[in-house]
Amino acid sequence: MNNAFCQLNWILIKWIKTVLSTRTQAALHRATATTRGAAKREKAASRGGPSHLTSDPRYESIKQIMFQEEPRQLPKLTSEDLERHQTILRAWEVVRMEERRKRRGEREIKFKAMERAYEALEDVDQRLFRAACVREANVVFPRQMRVPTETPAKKIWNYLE
Amino acid sequence: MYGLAARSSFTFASKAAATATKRMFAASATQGYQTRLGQYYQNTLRDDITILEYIPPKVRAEQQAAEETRLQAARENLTGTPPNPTKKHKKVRMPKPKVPVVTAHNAPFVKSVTVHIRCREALQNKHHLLSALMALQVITGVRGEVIKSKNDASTWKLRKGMPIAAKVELTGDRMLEFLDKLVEVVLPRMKEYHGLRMSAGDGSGGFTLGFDPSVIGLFPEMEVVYDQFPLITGFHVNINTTAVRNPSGRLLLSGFGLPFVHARKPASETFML
Repeated sequence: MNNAFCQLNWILIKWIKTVLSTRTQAALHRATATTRGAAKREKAASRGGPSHLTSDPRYESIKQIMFQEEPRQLPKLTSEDLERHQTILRAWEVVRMEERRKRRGEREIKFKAMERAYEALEDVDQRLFRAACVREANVVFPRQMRVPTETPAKKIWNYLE
Repeated sequence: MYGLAARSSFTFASKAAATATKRMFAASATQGYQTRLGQYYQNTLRDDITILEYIPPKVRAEQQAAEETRLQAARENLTGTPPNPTKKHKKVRMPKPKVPVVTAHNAPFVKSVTVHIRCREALQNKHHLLSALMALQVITGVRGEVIKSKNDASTWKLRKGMPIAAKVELTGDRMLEFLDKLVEVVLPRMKEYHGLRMSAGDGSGGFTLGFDPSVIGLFPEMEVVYDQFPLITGFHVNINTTAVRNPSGRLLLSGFGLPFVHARKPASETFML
């Protein structure tokens, strides 16, 4: 008897929904709709079931955000487009390679100059040479040596600390 | 050192302008995007570290000879009771890699940064791992990886294969940007951060920082979505460098802005009435 009444109710509600305007339908849906897991969770909660079914509703939105969207598909390239794409990538790689080579050359020159300076110092004064070779145990860059920025803060250093 | 740091920001703009006029395709990017820390390392830090670590070959040979004689003496002048011949030998540690000669091209650099969240609450409710994963994605911009346990631990009701933690491994530009954010924004905002100790480091170029749950909310991206997280966790940051010993690793990281301080004894231990 109860079951029949529920079914009649359901049919009636469905008919009413078709008569309503779409805006009202949407409002009704927002007010009454439940997620798929909600019924399961209510049941589990009432029975005292496992806690992973009665978890925070925010996890539903997190799951949607993280797993709902399909991963982006790579665009399908024709053979000419693919060639253009590979040429551009290769050209950029060549630019980077040239920059690396230039920097490497500069480093070599600087390093050799430093080695020659040490050798010259050794020939001139042994005491100073030994002093130059002394290395502190735990040397670190001073904190005042900040990484440069184009937009420094107004108050750079909190001297009260 | 200070001079080098100041000059680099001026030469960058003029260099770009000079090359732009020479190139055929003036519209194309001359320098391309480089992270702030990456630029700074190439322009300033790299050479500074090389200069600070360089030792002339003759002196280096003398130092190594002295080290060898010291080790030999230590091996020969054994102290304590002689070892029991019937007992099995303990596991011998793998010898640390030798310190390579300093050249123009082998200054240490950061290799990778791993952000790791261990989520013990995931044992009761698997959904709590979602908080950890989402937090890692918000902070680093990279989708996290779930870690399953390798061992059992009955005291914590842990079985082998249960998902218990999440991690993200960062390399390249993303790693440098994360380090930049950490050093410039998060660490200064912390209530009580005194810096890394001068004894920090694992001996082969790895450094670890651990943070309380309160710190994760200090990231600029987390401020916006803080309320959407049912569970706020702490995290660990493991910085892997190509340094071979602790001091050179500390030198590198101090250049990027991480503060190192000598560990101080608490006042109660230093002064006894």
